Amino acid sequence: MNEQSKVKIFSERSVTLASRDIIKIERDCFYGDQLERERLEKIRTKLNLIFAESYSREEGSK
Amino acid sequence: MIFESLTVENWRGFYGEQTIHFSTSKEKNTTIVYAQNGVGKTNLLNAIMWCLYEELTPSFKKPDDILNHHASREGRNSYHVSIYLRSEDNELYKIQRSGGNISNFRVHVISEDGNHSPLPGSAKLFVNSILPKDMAGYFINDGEGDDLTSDDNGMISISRSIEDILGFGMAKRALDDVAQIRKEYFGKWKTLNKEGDLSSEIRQVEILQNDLQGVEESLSSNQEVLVKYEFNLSKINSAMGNSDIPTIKAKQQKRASQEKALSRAQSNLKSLRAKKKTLIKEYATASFSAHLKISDLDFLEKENLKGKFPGDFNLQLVTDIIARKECLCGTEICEGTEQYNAIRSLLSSAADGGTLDRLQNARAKINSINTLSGQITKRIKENFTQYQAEERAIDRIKRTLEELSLEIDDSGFVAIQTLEKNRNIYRAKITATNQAIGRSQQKIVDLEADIAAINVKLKKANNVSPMVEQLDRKMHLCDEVIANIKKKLSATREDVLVKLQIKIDEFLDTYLQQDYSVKITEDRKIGLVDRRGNFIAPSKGQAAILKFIYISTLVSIARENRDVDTNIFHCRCNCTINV
Repeated sequence: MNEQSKVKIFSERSVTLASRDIIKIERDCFYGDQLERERLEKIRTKLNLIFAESYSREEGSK
Repeated sequence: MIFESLTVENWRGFYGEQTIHFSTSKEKNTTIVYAQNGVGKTNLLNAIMWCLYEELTPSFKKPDDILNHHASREGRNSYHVSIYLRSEDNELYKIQRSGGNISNFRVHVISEDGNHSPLPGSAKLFVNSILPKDMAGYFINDGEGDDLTSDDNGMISISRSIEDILGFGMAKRALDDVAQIRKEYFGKWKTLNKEGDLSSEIRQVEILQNDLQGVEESLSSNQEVLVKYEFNLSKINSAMGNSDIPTIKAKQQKRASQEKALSRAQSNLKSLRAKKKTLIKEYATASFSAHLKISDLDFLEKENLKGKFPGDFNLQLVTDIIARKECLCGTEICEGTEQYNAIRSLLSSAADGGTLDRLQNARAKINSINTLSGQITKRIKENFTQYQAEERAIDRIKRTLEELSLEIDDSGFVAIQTLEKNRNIYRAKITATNQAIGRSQQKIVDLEADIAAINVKLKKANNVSPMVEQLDRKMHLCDEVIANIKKKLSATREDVLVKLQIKIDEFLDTYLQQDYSVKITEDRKIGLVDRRGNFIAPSKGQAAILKFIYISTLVSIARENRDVDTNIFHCRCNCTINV
């Protein structure tokens, strides 16, 4: 997998949305009632989701 | 969101239920609580802080003794604080916290008929959406020192407040967590690659990343410590500047003005040093070509070129002749003939149409070098003289400052001597911390470059298993997210600095009679400047107004961005992100 294809896999939009959602998770755990110790798992899940989407998009474009 | 009223029940000095209604009129929107010392003004402030965040101001004495004593004697064992707020869309909310033997925290929505219904969602999140905890110290403080630090000259340090009020904290936590997750992926990736020939690079990256983390932590703690040192130093300066002993007061004021002059002279010296570098470069160019004259290009004159080069001719025409194999005069020009070879040989040494342009450019360059060489010596001498004068001025000021320090130390007043001793300690600490910060910042740049270089090498590795490739992609996603957040934070920070200056100037036009504006220094301090752009030492009133205006401006920027944690993340495709 070269650098060029990686850049295409994670579009600016999905990276931006991931950044926003991860910060939202942090905020909910820090200011809100959600458990702070669960935040890493939530972030992992979010990253995995975007990661999976990138694969399905790749499959779709084949 | 408007605070309509505050109700305290059995809270410190307030027996039973007591309510204070705040002014909600658009025209007269300020409520002043005016009373003698010890009546409970600060307790009201703390009631608000406690109700919202379950926290108290640092100077709140006996935090475990909140229940009103009279109520306690009557057998009551709980206390309550309620805040009523009205939103912009006219919804009424009640935030209530209870302490003592009943401990709870609730938010209710109150309908027009007075019915209370619990707020759907998190009460804590709701409160933080009104005023995040990180921002609270800028608004709710008891005058014993707010979260905003300013020095003796009324310059406000703005880095931390920008980050607090615009909510950079959450973004920074996200950066740490994503880096942590990337580390986990890297750990798995490393295990799968154990047999590969990249083990030494992997170890290198690990070591560098650990180093980077260490340096970042040290940078962050040094920055925090620096703010504290500067705050403590400014408190000492202020105590000496307001001393009851006239000689100490005068000496401290003289010292403050000398320190200002020193900072100005050091900044001048810095720009003269930068200018000197440019001048030396120009001097080198000028001295190498000092003897070049326009006449040196005469050999390129058209007349002188006659016979050496072909004269003006149409290059295309000659090329066409060769292609057509026939001259204009009808002579056959076949490949291999004497005529053909003569033309080919002329073409190989022919001047093209750009020759004259290049000649003109060369002339212009020589002209500018000649002009420069005439001035450069003079300019270098001027720079040198100014540089020496600034150095002498700095030495003079430093001597004066040392003498003042010795005089203050010899004053014979023990309290002043202690202050002076602490002052010297803090100054030394500030200098050392600033140097450490500079070193860390440089180290971070170097380490990031080293890590990036090795990562490129690792990513180029071929023949990897699908599992390794997946992990590689996941790490890449983490890198992208980290880079994205850092980029947005940096862009927002720069954007805020520009907006701050413009907006504060607008406020100053309205609220200050004098023709002052604000300027932000390189070390992220904000101060008042006069019409000529010189920093002025503001009066207490002006400094207070500047602080208020500064915070109000930050809040107004925060309102525009709504919440930088999430809403700086707008896509180029304009999709709406509304958290």
